Amino acid sequence: MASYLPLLVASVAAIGFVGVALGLGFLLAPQQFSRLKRTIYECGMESTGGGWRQVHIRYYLMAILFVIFAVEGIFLFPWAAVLGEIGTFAFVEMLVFMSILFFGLIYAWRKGAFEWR
Amino acid sequence: MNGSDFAFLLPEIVLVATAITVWAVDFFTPRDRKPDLAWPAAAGALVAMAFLAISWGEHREMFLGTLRLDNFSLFFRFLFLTVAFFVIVGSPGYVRRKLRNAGEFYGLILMSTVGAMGIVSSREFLTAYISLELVAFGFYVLVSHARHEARSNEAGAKYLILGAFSSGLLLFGISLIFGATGSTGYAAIAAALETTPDFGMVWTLGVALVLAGLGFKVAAFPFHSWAPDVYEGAPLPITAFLSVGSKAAGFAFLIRLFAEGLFPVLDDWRVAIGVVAVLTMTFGNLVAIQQANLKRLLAYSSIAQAGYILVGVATLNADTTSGMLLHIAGYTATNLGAFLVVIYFHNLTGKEGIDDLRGLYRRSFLLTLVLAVSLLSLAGMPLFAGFMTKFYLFTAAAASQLWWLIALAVANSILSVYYYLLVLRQAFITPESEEEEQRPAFRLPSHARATLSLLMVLVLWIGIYPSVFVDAAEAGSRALFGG
Amino acid sequence: MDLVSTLALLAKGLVVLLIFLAAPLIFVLAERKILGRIQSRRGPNRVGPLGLFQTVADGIKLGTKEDIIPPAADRVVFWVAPLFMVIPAIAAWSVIPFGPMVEIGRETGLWITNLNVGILFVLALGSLNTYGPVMSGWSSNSKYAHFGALRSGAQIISYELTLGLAVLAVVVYAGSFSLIDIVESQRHMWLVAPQFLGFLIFIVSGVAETNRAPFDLPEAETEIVAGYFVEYTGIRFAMFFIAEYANMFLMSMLVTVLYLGGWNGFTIPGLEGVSGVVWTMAKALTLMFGYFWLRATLPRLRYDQLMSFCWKILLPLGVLNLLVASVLRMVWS
Repeated sequence: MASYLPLLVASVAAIGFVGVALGLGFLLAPQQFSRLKRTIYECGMESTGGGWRQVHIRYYLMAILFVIFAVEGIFLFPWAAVLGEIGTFAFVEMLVFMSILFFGLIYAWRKGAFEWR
Repeated sequence: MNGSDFAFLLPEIVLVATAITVWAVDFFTPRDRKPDLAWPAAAGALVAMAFLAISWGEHREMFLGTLRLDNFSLFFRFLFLTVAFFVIVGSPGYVRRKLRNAGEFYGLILMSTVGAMGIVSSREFLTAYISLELVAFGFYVLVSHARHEARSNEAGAKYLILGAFSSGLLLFGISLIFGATGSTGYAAIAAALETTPDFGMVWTLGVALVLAGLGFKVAAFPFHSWAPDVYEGAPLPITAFLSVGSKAAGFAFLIRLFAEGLFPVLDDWRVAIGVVAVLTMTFGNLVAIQQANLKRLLAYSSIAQAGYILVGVATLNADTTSGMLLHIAGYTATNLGAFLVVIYFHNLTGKEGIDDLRGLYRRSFLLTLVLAVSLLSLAGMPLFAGFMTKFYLFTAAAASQLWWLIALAVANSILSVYYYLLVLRQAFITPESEEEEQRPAFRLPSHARATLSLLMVLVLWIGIYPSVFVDAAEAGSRALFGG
Repeated sequence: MDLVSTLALLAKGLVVLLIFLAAPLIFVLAERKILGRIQSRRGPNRVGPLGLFQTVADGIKLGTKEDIIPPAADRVVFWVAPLFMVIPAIAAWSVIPFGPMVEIGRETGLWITNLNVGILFVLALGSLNTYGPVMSGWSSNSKYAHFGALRSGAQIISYELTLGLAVLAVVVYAGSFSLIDIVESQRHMWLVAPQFLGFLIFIVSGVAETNRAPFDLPEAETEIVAGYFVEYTGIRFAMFFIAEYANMFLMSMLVTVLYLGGWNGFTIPGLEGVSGVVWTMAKALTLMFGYFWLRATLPRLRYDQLMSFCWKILLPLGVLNLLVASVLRMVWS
């Protein structure tokens, strides 16, 4: 665990740095109320409506595909690290796993998940 | 662990490979040919069956004891493959009329079958749970596969939400049981129960939650409410698959769990399960009487059937287990027959109301015959599978001395005859109007004739001379109870 | 842990934090100077000698500007988002090796900690980089910010996959997740030679991960103004900049460590003690120059090209690269 302690220290240092920066900003920066200053920026036009809109479905597809392949990656990492020692059988097993997932990629491709229309 | 374990998973591997092949071939198939992908998919199921037959009688612990291949799992795996085969073979006409994305449709049926086959082999909660999810995920997509029909979408959404909810209950129950006993393996749980008979509230709540989660899957009484809407909205072949495959998978889970894991505490739960069984069958039968839609009627009838099987769970022992296996087999053949009739009828007329059956006997003798055989068998008439299997199940259950349970089950069985006969009256007796008499006779494709006849023969075979099936069911139950 | 090693740890941490603080100041100036030269301009040359204090002045200016939170925004998320940008960018430095084991009073490595899952840790913190843009863009409740957030989210997660695949091939060669082990394994041959394809994939994905030109669509000035941080002002705005440059430098360091042999190189005459550090820094700074050069040279991609390039070309290539690497490894062992 000793090698993890520095991570904690680094994180605390990072938070400390951010805290100091924000604190300085708070102390140094002026605070003056102005209604116009607080409107949403829209190239000088008066903004209409909020920014929270519907999101196109393709982003959702991207997210789903990402989840699939990220999970693949999680399984691949330990396998990659010990590849030299685990023998041919585990290698072939992983090939099967990868080819099934690669089929998923081809499937999504054929079904047009990557077309940005 | 080594490669040799995989040799015994060949049926599953074949199914997965077939599913992926079907999806891949689907890319290059012109749209009007896609429904015919049913034939390679069905062939895959047959090949898997052949591989399964090779491992007959093999008892084997695999993958660190998470999977166990024995006659029990063999029985159910064979059953699921049969179901998948008939559902796929029964689909092309319907798919051509109603569905796009035929390749995905067949492939997902195979994938759900793989999940169901995993459930029956697993003797460990998490493996069983993952398999159950594989079944359910396939169904979530399949139920809403008729994308352009509002009903199908509604059914899909309901199934997804309730299914996810029930999975949550199940998983929470599993985690509580794991917390109490320190293991997710059935054998280890049973061993823990031997030493510590009472784990208190956590344990009770865990088992109750697991029962509730599985109750959803088999559509037992308080958790049945999704079933009619989903059955009605889903594409017809999927309704058939749901009512048979998904239900059998849920029961297989329950039976193995209780036989191998929770048997020491079963006595605490017998009455509760019995009450659920009675409520389930009574509710299913009473509501079925009022139905005007064939799919809904079969949906409620299958709820009632789940009640009968729960009688076996409530009185679980070696004999009732073989009774349940037999009943599930008979029910599977029977219900598949009934649904195939509805599917073909729907393909030809586009209708599914009970009234629409008028004059069926004039228009197609075979459809009427199979419908009659199936419904009479569901009603439990002698000569048909339903009678024989219920007889086995109830006599075995009688040994438990839960007389009220047996009596109510038999009473329910008699009650159900009424609405099955109502359907047959439409098909046989109610006269057609003059206009209707002009309608031409049906022309069934030859594969439809073959599958219908096959199922009818199967129903009659189980009903009249069931010794082969009884032997198989007893071998299955011996795998769990020894002896 | 005894007192000396605790102090050593703190000292190392302090040095890294200082580098982290100084890096954006130096790199922003360097970028503006280099861009200027490439475009036949002089770049900033007013503040201090040769304009060296330009970014210091900019920093002071940003620090003394009002920190506005628009009333329409989701206050909490708006407030937290910059922290999600900066904190992972700092924390990731704790596993990056700057040089080999050296003798400073006693044996010590020029890294904060030798984590046995170092590269995983960096990748994990890298995926936290998705949150900053998405949170800031969404919470701003502004259309530009919203688009920026979506683009950035989709882009970062997509290129993270290819980045991961490239790293996997490196892990196959090195047989370890520890960045120090990975550098050690390149003593005889830098991995860029056997892994040239992986190297290219990593470089491209790294540029996309840091939202830099030509993949800077999330903050494309000409169409969505500044993307996800359009509503930020003052010190918070500065944080996005700090995080961006810190991440760029981190990515350069990663390429150095994974492919260019880290501190490996012949001993430079006259710099015997710090030769490793010099090598590492030289490689990383060259890569930083590459970043600026790319920005000056290449036009921005179209968004559909950006995504389909990742999924249709880079991802299959990454899988292929991993396959070849693992087959070679199997044959070789």
